[in-house]
Amino acid sequence: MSLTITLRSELLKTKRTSALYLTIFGALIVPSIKLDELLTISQPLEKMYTYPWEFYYKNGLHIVMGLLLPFYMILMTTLLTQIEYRNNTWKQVFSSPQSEFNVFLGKFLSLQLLIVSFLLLNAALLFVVILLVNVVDPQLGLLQQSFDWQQLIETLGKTLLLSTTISSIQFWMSLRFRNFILPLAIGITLWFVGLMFVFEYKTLSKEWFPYSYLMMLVFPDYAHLHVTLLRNALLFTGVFLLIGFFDFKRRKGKGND
Amino acid sequence: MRNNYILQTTDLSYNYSKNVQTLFDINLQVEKGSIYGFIGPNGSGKTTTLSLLLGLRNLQKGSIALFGKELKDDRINILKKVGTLIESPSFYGHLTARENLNVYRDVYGVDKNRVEEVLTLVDLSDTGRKKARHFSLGMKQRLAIALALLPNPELLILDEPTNGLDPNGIIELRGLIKKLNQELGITIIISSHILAEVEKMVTHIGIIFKGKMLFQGTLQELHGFQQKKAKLNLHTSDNPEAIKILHEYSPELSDEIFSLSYNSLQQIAEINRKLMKNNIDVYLLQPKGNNLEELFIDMTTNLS
Repeated sequence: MSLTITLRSELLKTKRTSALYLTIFGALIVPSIKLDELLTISQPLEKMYTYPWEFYYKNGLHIVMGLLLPFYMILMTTLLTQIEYRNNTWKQVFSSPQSEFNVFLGKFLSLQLLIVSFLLLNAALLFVVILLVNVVDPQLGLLQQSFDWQQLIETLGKTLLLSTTISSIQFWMSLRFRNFILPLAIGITLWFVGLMFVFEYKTLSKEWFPYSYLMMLVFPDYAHLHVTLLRNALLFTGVFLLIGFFDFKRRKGKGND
Repeated sequence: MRNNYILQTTDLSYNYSKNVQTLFDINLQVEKGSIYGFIGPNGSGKTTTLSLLLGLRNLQKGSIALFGKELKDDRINILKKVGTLIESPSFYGHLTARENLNVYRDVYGVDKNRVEEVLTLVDLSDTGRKKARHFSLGMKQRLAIALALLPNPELLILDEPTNGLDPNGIIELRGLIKKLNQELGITIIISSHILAEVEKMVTHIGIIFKGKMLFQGTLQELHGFQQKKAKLNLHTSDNPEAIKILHEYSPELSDEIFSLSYNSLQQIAEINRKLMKNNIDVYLLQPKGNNLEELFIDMTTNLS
């Protein structure tokens, strides 16, 4: 009950913040580009994809999962924790009747809610784009084709689970450093290294590098590793949340807010 | 005994690092219904003490009891009855006054009417959709106080609430604090580095300097203490001889003048008569200004 109250309080703080605007407007980027691509492409769409609904994923949801989502999470964790730093409100938060655990978890859950909203908004808007394209080109007959909902739910579920690793690491760093540049720079560097691991250093073992996970989920070559990645992701998330919480509690007790 | 005080600390000590001790055995005693002025120059340990009272820092030595309970045993329930303003006003600049209070409404378990009540009390009920970051300094301070009042607190802790306020703002705040104490019966602890600023509203005073309590008591007790500490400056034709004659007043020589303690105006006349009787010419016979501010400065500079 008290955690619900803290979560509600945390969500109220995001009103009119760049964190909220980034979630909404950030979710328009890929669907807009996709719409533009599908409407301006010269060759017939059915020749480009093996089956009609494939362009929902290819250059669509896959781009969101592998590229945009990690970047969004790195920015989002920083923006969310900066609400307290920028307004100098940590002391007010800690002198209110909430436990440190609830404050920490409430913030992390509000972050997760924004991440889920971002992903679902992307998934929904990509549907709108596909339907719009189908209106423009009824020959595609998309509505007559079956869509594998189970695959979509599974993909979104895996994406969210794997994403908690990056968000928990970034969350810890964003609480740790008052200077927002630091977690941002470290996060972007690690994300870039993660991309290089997947695209360039194919022989290296990537199961222990969380910033590669989401990109690995996109490529069928790594399908055999999904279970390992999910297990490692849960492990990493648990470890970094614990480290983050104890560091948060320790720093608070020293008055380092 | 402990129940007489809404807040009591016992031998509270704190150090930031091994070699730097900030607080030494602080024994605060705040009576229910009082306005307690916690006074000390910048860096004397006021904010550290108040931070410890709210659990913002880990307790290293000593104990803190609020409402008769140990803070470490029941922090969450204790904080439900405490309103705070620590250092600068803290609120969310991108939210309106009402939205800022709504952030904490459920945390303190108060209803929507309470939000309107406190906004009216601090005269911010008509700020509408104006965001808090666009408020004047006085309005920001009032919003911070509204936030502190939101839980309907029994104890209000205000750390340097007059910081940055213009004289009108200080007068307004003083009026509000008295009103909260007298009409709502809220016990208030207010810290400041300027005694004159809080002297007109407090009932009790605690003076802290370099982490040590120099005085604690009612305002009347402080006036009594001040009387005992009254000094008289003298300069005569033969200072060493005069010091011998007036040895019972514990004179202290400094440069060309010497000073001694006195209790009444009659004593000044008596001192003068003694010197005249011994053929010593009096060039200067000057009671030192003895307002509370000078006493405060004396207390804190003698130890620095």
